[in-house]
Amino acid sequence: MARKDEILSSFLKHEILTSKYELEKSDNPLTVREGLSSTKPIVKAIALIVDGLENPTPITDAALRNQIIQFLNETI
Amino acid sequence: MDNLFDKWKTKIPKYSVEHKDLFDFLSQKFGAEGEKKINLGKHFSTNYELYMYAFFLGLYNEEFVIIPATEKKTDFSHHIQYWGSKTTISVRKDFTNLQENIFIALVGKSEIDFIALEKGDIKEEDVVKSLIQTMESYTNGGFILIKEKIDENPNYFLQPTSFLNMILDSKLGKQKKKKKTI
Amino acid sequence: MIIKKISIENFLCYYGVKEFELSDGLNIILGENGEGKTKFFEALDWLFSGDDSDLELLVSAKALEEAEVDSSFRVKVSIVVEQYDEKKIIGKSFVVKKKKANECSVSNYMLEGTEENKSGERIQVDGKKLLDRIFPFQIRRYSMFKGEAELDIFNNEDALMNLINLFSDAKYYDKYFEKGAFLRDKAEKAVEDSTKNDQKNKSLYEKLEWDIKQLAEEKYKISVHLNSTEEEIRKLEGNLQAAESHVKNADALDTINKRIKNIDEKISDLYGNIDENYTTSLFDENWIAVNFEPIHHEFADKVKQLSIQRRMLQSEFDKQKGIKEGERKARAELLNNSIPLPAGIPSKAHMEEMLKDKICKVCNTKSPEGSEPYKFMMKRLEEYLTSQAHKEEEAINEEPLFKNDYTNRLVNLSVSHEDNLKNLRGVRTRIKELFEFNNARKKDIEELNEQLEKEKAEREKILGNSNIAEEKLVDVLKNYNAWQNDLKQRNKEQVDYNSRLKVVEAELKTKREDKDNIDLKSANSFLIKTRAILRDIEIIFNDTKEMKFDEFIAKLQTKSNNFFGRINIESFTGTIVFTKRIKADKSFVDIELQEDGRTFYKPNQSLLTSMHISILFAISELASEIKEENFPMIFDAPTSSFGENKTAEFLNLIYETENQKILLIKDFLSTDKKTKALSIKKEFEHVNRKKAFWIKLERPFDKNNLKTINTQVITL
Repeated sequence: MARKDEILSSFLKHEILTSKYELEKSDNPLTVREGLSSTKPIVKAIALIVDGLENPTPITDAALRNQIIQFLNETI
Repeated sequence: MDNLFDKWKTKIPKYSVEHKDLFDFLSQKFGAEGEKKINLGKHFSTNYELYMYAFFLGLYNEEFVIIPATEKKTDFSHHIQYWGSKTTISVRKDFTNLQENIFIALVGKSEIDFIALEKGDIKEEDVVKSLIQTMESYTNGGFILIKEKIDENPNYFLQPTSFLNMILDSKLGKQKKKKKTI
Repeated sequence: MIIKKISIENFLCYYGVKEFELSDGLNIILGENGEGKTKFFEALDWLFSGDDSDLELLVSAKALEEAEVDSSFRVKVSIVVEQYDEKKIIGKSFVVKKKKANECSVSNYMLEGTEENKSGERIQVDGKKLLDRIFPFQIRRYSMFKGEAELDIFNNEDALMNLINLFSDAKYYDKYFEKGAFLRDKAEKAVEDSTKNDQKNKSLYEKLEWDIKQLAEEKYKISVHLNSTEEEIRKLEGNLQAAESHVKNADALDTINKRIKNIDEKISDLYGNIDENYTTSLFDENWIAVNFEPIHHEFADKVKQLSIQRRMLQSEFDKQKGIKEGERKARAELLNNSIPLPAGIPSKAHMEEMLKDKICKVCNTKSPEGSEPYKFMMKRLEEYLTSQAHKEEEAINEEPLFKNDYTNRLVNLSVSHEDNLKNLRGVRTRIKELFEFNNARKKDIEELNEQLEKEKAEREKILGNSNIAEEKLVDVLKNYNAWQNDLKQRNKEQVDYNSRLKVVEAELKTKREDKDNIDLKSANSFLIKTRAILRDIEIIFNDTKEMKFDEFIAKLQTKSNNFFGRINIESFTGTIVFTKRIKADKSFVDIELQEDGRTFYKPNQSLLTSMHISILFAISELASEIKEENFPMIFDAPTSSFGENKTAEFLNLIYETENQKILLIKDFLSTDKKTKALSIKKEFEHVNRKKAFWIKLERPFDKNNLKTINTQVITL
């Protein structure tokens, strides 16, 4: 598994996702690519962040923020 | 209903400046409670407590000493009605009830023509003045007793029981004891 | 990567070319102190990192001596390694030209690298790059050790952090930690700005923000104090333990200390129970009224007389005025013209009750309806009722006798205080009881103090029965008591800080909730939702990072203890524990030795060494797992505190571990007392190893004359 996929998996194991957001562990995406097409806002948000930061040319803070906010704006 | 007590409470009794040093030594103006009191080395938390103490001491020992006209008088600007009010202080209890005791003693000991007062022949203000004068005189007596004690033994008041003992050993206290043993 | 051969040429005590052909696994190099062990290590050190100044100082004196003037020779250290089935050579060298006796000039050094592929072809490559590939700096750091003092790499606070960055996943999560905080921060600010636009809550909100800021600062300050107090406590406990290690009967000491603590606590409680605030009680408990009864009676009598006199005068007055038309304040005539009771006594309720029951309850006589007593009571009640009703007719031009009525209140005062007299009577008893109580407690304290003295004397005796010199013992005892007191103080402080911290944290929580509540009402709901998600994301990032960190430390701990157990088999049974601590917002890891939950603060050198070696082996194993490659470990005399038997056992054990190890030790050598000749002890034959060498100086030599110094390498 690529490192960014491992990183995403580690994050998605956090219990706040099962308790507060009621996500099933079995539904967790295995790769960042899958995560980017998730229908759950928080999962996709995290995938976006991982994708942006693990990119060879890392995303700037401002760009990352805009990306996340815009995405959330669409979904929430 | 007319109330002599309420009128009397609004006054501030005075004391002779001769005794000012006692206040500096034994009590704390504006108050010091608990740790603060200990830190300052004071026996009484407030000035009025010392005053009350001296009054009862003089009363129980029948030491009625009118402040001579030659001596200047002063006070510590705290009306009687507030004496004993400790509602803001958690380590103390309220003893405003002792104001009544003082008043009772003054009425008992003062020469007042109450009938004249009831008829309106003499003014309420004058009666209250008379009561205050009685108060100041007993207190003065008390201060003199305290001073004598210090002169006799400067370390007397270093014991935690010293002030209590002076009260218990008063004339009236001893009389009571005699009665009991009989 | 394995080192197959080490060649040292004309470097310090190694005159000419001296070679070590090494194998995988354990290689032991024996050597007496001062005969070349340390210089061997220095040669490798110089090759790998190297101080490049003063190259002249590295030249073998003997080589310089033997060389002819104007001739040159080489100083070189090189290694042949095998990595990924390929042979690689790294060499560092410089040329020396002899000017005259004892004088030379040196060239700059060269670092040459050679790679040999499977078909035997050799290619020259950049030496520095090759070195970094063969033996990266970060790995070298944990692989080479000169002497026992250097084993403790963890005294350096950054060392562990570097280790983590090197070997664990945790380092990848650092940036998420930062970004998470950044995103959440922005979201918080957005919500705050939105809330503040709603003027209603502006000032309350700003006050909350201010309060939160203050509280957060306070919390930080308290944490700092708490941390330094906890450090102090650890230091003190360490000192105390060290002192106690001198004491033979440590258990008895422990028991006594517990007893002493117990007594101290009891004494403290008793002091708390004693209340000697007598002067204050004069007021608060009304003790000052202890002698008041006669005074009260004086007053009561006076008031009674006044009341009677007043009523009498009033009665006379009324009689003289005559009783006219009805609605006046008339009074029923009493028998014998005696002075009537004041109106309202007995009270209206009492009167009504007596009438209802048809009994005069004062004198217990029947008063049936129609009887004289009944009619009297009825009339009295009616008069009382009418006297209470508003009288308009009072406008009759009448001058009352008494303009004022102070008497009534005075009578009430007298009655209410009469009831209180029984309290006053009890005061003397209460005072007496308090004195007795206090005295009893004081006696208890005295007894406990005697006990305490006895226990302390016992403790002195135990401390005295220890096995260190007199002067040192005096110091230890002196310090011991001081440290105990200090520790008590610090523990109190720690409790204090912890409780203050709790209070502040609770307040902080409340204020933050209040602030959030305002946000929920005022701010734009999209911003609120976004903030909520980003708060959770930050939590996820932080927790995951911490978890990775903790996982790594746990792995390190487990591995370390595996080695530790094996090294210390048949003796000490403690555990190495890694604890995370936070100091000024930075994470540190403390390494402690614990036995049954109790920390061993100052273990002896032998334990310390086994501990550190275990940790290093653990690191090496971790490195192998993660890098999927092994690296050699080179130790210079790490076991000098072990003693021969433990050393032999230790060697047998590490023989079994995987990596290549090169160990330089001085054990197993003995000097013949007469001939001063060195020889190897028989026991060494039983030590498992792959390869062994013996380095010793060529005899005869003069230790003051470097020119005679020449280390020989003997392969055993």
